[in-house]
Amino acid sequence: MGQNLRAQNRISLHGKIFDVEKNIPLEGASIFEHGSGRGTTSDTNGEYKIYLKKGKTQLKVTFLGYMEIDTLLYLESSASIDFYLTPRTITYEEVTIVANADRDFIGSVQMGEIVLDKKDINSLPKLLGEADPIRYLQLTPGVQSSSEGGIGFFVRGGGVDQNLVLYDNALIYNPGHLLGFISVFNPDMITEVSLIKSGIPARFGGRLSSVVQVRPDRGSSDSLRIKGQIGLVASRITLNRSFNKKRGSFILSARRASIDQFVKPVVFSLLADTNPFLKESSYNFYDFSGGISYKIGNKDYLNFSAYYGEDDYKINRSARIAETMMNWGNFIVTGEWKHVFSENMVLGTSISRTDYQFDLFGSQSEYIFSMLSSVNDYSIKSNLNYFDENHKLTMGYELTRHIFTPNDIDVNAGGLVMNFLSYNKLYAYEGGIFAEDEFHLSDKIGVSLGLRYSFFSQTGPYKEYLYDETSLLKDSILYPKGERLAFYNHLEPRISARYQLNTNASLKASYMHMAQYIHLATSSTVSLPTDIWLPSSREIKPQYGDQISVGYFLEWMNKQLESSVEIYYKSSRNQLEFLRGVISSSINLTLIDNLAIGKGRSYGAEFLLRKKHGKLTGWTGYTISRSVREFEMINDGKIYPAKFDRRHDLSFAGIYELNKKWNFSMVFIYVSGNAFTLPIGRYIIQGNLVNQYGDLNNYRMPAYHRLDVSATRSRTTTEGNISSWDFSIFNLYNHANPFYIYFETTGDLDLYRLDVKPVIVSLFPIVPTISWRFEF
Amino acid sequence: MKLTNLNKILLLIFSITAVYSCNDDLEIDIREPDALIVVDGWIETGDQAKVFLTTNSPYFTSIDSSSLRDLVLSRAKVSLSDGAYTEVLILRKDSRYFPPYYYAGNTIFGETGKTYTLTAEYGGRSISAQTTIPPMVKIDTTFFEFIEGEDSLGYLTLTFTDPPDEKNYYRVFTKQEGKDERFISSFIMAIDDQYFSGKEISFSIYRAPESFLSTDESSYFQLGDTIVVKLCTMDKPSYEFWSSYQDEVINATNPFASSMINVKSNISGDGLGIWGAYGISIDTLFTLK
Repeated sequence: MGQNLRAQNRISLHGKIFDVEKNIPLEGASIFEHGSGRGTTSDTNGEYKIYLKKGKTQLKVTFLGYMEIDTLLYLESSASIDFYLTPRTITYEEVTIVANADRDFIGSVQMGEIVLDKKDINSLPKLLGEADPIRYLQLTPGVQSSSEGGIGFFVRGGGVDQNLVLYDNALIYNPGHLLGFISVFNPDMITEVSLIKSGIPARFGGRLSSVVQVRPDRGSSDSLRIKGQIGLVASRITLNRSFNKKRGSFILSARRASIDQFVKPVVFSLLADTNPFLKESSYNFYDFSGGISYKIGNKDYLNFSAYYGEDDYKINRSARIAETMMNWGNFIVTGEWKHVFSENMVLGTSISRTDYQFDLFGSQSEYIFSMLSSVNDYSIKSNLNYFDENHKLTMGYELTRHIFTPNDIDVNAGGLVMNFLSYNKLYAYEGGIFAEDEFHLSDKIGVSLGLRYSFFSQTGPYKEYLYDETSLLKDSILYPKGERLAFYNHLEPRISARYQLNTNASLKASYMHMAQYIHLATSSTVSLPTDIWLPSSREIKPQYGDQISVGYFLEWMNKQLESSVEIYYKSSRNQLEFLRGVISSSINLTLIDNLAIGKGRSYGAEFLLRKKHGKLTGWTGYTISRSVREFEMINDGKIYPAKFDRRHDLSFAGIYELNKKWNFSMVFIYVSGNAFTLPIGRYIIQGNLVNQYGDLNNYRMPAYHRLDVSATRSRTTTEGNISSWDFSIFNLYNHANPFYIYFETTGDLDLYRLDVKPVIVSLFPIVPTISWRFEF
Repeated sequence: MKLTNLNKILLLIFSITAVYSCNDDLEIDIREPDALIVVDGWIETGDQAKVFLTTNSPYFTSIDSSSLRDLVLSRAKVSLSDGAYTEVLILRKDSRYFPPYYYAGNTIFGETGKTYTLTAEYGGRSISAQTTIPPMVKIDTTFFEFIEGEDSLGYLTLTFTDPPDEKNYYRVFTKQEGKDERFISSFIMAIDDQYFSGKEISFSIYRAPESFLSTDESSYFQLGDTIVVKLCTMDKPSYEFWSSYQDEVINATNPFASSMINVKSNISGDGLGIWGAYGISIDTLFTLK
């Protein structure tokens, strides 16, 4: 009854949102009502539909790069209104921004979400000349870099492998180029990057800590547009245009490292004395990415995206007859079909393939070592979206077939080939079905309820080796193709709620329960491509995680500023750690024997202040947190700080547009040092010094801090051609941040003299770079 | 066989970009460890026991000749039992070893299959440990092989047959006559027969440094050397000690590999270290110029 009464008071408003100058529809523009926060974003045709109460309503229409419309309407019945937005500045760069939704910060039920748009990505200071969305996400509260300059990241104390990184719906296993110092995401190909760290909707699964979605640019220009960048480390070129009267569009991009051309000759002369390895090394990476979208009729949309990238790294040391080669790459192809049944119901289905492969080859005189590790996935998923005046319903399924080759090792020592047991390929299916509904209980209370059923099944072919109690190989069993070896399933409830205090403030809370079936076995604190992906199996149980968070969200200064405080508590089970390091010098240790299983716990508070519009934009964030681990087989079962337990994390990212020509930006970061283990004593055995260790992670590295600045000078012609010079300085005050610390023991016991000296190794000193970006 | 080369490879990868800086001002506040009895002792078939007793020291103390002497426990009460007899071990000086003092046995000689119990007391602390000598495995052959492109440097290939249906653990030592004063452990200090159980197996043996602290020596043997090779069998606790010891001494300074966990000891009580028993087989190789 109450529902009906309410429904009678509701009316719908629909229409299109256009660019006033070009008269083209805008996708992703946001329209929402003051007070209730009720709102939506426009679709690919610029169309929107919003349900409102009869009577007076104040609406706001926004789109990044455009002047916002704030209007008061009096509506007696459902109506159709088109909105025309005026570009805020007329640089071509901003007009072409697509799909950038200004999320309703106060009104949305979702919490723990941060979105970076093209402007943030292109304007913030660059490391080695490369704009990098992942690096900028690391500057937001609750997100920490795994190592200096590295693009691996920890979200609220969760491991690098607990982040679901999606490029246009396809999973990416290793989003790193250049040993992980720059991400595989070509900035020219991205419109937006978002991160969700709490209240993750049920449509996402398989990772405990976060979802990172990288949305590719579809390209929509009438004429062929070419843009690119020439930089010191990498250069790139991108082409895009629409075809068939804007029904379709394509975008193609290629990027290649230019280290050997630009960096080496310069750095050589500077570092030839201090770094003798440099001369004999070579590094190359490249990637191609592309996308095509096409609209068939009025109800069907097709999108294809592909990515192929590879890194090649070689070091020769002729003096020691040593050679190392490392090569890795991702291949991703995904296709999506979206069918619009009605204006209230859309079905999206996508098929994707992801390949990740890592090869390491090393030789030192007679010794040859090679290792191969790979993951191959095929997946299919569908989402059915239904929305009406009070509900936003999504349901669907997801199914992936995985093939893992965790580490296929060959060792040849002076003609002696070590006979490692032929390493099994591991076959598995992972899937889930889910349903979620976001609805409003009242004007003040919005709720999102979701449930995901997930499963994981390891199947044959698989050869199991059996050992007796003295670990002597006795027998082996061959499981035929398709036979189930291990099966896990789980129910994952998700709930988020919002209570609107007034038009400018709301309280939000969420709970999520997650399951993760694949694991990254890391070899060190540094996230290297040598880390190995392992599926769950009979021995390795899935990881489970729970997180509760509450937050207070406030907009002020006429909605110029967004601010939030979020508090979270997170726990996880079945976490993996290597007992003796992934590359234990003992070849006898099998991977499983080397693993310890335990629990993790983290909690903290995150503060964010962000300004999205105006001459000055950016954010500042502060996080105070604690992250601990508890493993029966590590540290005598006592609780110890996690490696990435960093108490304070303060960051600032700001962009200032002085005028059409000049644009300045800076980044400052201060993070407490991460935990590491130091010996407490030492003793002598066989004339060698042996370290005696106390508690694990008993020491803290010095704090990490850094300031980066950048200045961009752009020139835009009347035809919209752009020429832009970027000057960035990474680590402006040249602070030697510790990458790692080790202790060098020098002297000779026979001469009765020994000294122990800490050696701090830093990666990046002050790094100035210059790059040139163009578009015509 | 040097899998640890991978660690060097990884270290090298990062050496390209790294800027090293030594910093002595780094403030580190770590509690001192409890003083413990450190045992480095062994008994081999046909020989008496040798037991080095020292104590541990705080990590950051620099070592010189006087502080080193202080680490040696020269007034301990040490006794050895083979189940039937017990003898008290006597302190001896022997400059071939470091530190140059050990407690030596006199009447008890190592025999295959026997279990030996070591006890020691010093300054109110006491330790005990047990170890058993497993059957020895005979060396089949030892070869000298040139490294590619060299006509005087080479390495050894050691061949032996692993006994079937039993678990075996090995250590290999070499001694270059005229150069080495004692047997020196090969680079790989602990070998498990997991991958060659019951089969004939060949290992490449490189010359290992006498100590990982001494300056870089050649990892090859010279043509013309006379090399004594010793193949030892040992029990599982000894294997676990030596394989974790090997990780520790080779990787401790490698941030990509060091595991930061204590070496597995078989000493109970207020102690650390190893009390090992070895079944030995010796082969002498005369390489002729």
